[in-house]
Amino acid sequence: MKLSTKLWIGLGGLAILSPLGLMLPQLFKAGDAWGEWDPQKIKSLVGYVPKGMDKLSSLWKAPLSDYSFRPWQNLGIKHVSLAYIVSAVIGIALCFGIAYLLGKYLAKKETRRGGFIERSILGTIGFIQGTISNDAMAAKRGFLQCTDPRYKSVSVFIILCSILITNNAFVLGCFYLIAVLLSAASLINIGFFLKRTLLFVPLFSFFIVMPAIFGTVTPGDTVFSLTAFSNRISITRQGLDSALILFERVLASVSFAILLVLTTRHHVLLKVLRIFKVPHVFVMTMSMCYRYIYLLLDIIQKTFLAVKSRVGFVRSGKTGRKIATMNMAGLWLKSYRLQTQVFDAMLSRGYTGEPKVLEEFKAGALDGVFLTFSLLALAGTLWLNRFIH
Amino acid sequence: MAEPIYSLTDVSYSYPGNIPALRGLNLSVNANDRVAVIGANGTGKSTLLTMLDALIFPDAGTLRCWGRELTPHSMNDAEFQQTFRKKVGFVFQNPDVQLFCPTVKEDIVFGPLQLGVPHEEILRRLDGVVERMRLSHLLERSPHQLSVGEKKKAAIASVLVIEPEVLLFDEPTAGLDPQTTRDIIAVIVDAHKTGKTVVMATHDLHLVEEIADVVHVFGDNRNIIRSGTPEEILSDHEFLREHNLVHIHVHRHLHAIHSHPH
Repeated sequence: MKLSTKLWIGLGGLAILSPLGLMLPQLFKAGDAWGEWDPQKIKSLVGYVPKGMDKLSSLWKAPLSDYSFRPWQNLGIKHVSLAYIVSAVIGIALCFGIAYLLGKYLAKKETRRGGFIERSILGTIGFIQGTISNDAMAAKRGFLQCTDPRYKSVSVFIILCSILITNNAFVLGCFYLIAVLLSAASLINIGFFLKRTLLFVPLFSFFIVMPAIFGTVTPGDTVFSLTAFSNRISITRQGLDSALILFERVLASVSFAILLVLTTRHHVLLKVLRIFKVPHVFVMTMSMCYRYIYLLLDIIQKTFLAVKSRVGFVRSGKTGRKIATMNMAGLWLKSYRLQTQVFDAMLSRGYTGEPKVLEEFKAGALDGVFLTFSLLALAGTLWLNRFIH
Repeated sequence: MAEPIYSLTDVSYSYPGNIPALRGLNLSVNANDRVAVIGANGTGKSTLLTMLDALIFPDAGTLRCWGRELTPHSMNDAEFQQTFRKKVGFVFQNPDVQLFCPTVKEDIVFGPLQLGVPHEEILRRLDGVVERMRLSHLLERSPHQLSVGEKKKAAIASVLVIEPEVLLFDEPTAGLDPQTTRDIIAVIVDAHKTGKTVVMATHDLHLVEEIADVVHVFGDNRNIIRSGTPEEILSDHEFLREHNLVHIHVHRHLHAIHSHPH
């Protein structure tokens, strides 16, 4: 017997048995189902109706009240039981119908876009390609690209501290402006930088910031209010101020972090961890991960293409998942073999457990300028904070 | 007669799962030899090279290098290990395995750095090897951005920079375009001219003809089935065909059909 047939039989059985919920309480004189009380019952139980419940209970009227039809309600247990079964069948049909239509819609969407797995793989590869283009940006000869990665990281760290302790929207705005000017001085396309910061940052911070604008979270002077479901929702000036500061702080912080990442090659950025006394072996492991992600992604892409060339586009989600699972297992074995060979290659060239790397950082006048600027920004912020409350 | 660099006596080795890779192998390699190891796939060539680089050790028999037996225990001696790694360089078949650093430059200097070569000396060697392999434009590139041929050259550079006495090559020209193949052959020939000992595993019989002085043919028994000069081995077409090393290539010259071993 097919699994789906068994499920249908089970659901049918449950629908037929549903009047038991009506008969048994009657038999044992148990009253209404526990917790499914209406406001009147609550009043008789605890002496009053909670305000919220009173408001919300009138919001929704069930299409089949008490799982029954109004004319049948006084015709005895047989009629009400039948109404229960009919309600159950209608409920099952509705759930099945919605799930079926949703499934059809999603399957159609997957077919159009090339399936979930294909989209995921292409998306990941696209992301990696985006990272490579960052490498091209880091290779330009702009201001931040020419500064020593150690000084640059420390300076950005100091600036981030300044941003975190600032409580003034204007100062935070100035920090963002400085980030934009620095991106221009570093030959980063301004449109690209603004899009990265102004488009994505609000998207992520919006949901965090939103509750802060309401009077319930930040009480204060009401700027705007509306009434919904007999509830008064107000937006306060203090709430808007704190939301603006939070938003600007995220915007300025993310902008400097993006500037650091865009103007420094990833492996160099990892090397900078050494100045924070992160062990060589950790830094090396991280850079090796970065290096081999490309190789493994390439293997995934080629395996996927090989499957596609042999069986065409995989329409069934089940088959797709099966193929993806087999690929994962194959990839795991390949990566295991690869790591053994890589370790052999390391041993072959004299690796003994503590890697030694070439430190080639060179500091210049520009680094001094940037570091001094960041220290001045920190001092200025601390000084300004004395006057701003 | 001088003591051989390598001497293998009755060496056997099996991979986990009791899969035999070498069975009772006897071999010796002398200083400045040019040895080619040929044979069909799965006959133990790569295993032999991995063993000559002391990355695996015999299950049975003895493997000696410069008179000292290579065992896990002897390789635990830090001083001996460092001396051995300075003297023996291994170019793996898959360059992706060998290029594990973020940039080509870091990969090239990885070996000398681990082996304690002074900083100035590393930079001098780096300049030399980069010029020899024509890699200057690739130094700051990440290995994943290179073509197969470029990766192979970078992998060879990462071994040459150690300036080892013995060079082990596993399929040095497999899958490369003709020009890169020529470049790599030239590098191996030059290395031998400067007194280095070369041991390579290959399927490329042209390479054998050009580079080797001694040829060892591995058979299905995971052992050497024949040794000799390239002339002796390569002229015995019947033998080569029997061991999957040549096939009969049929092609057309104007209007005549012509066939010869390939």
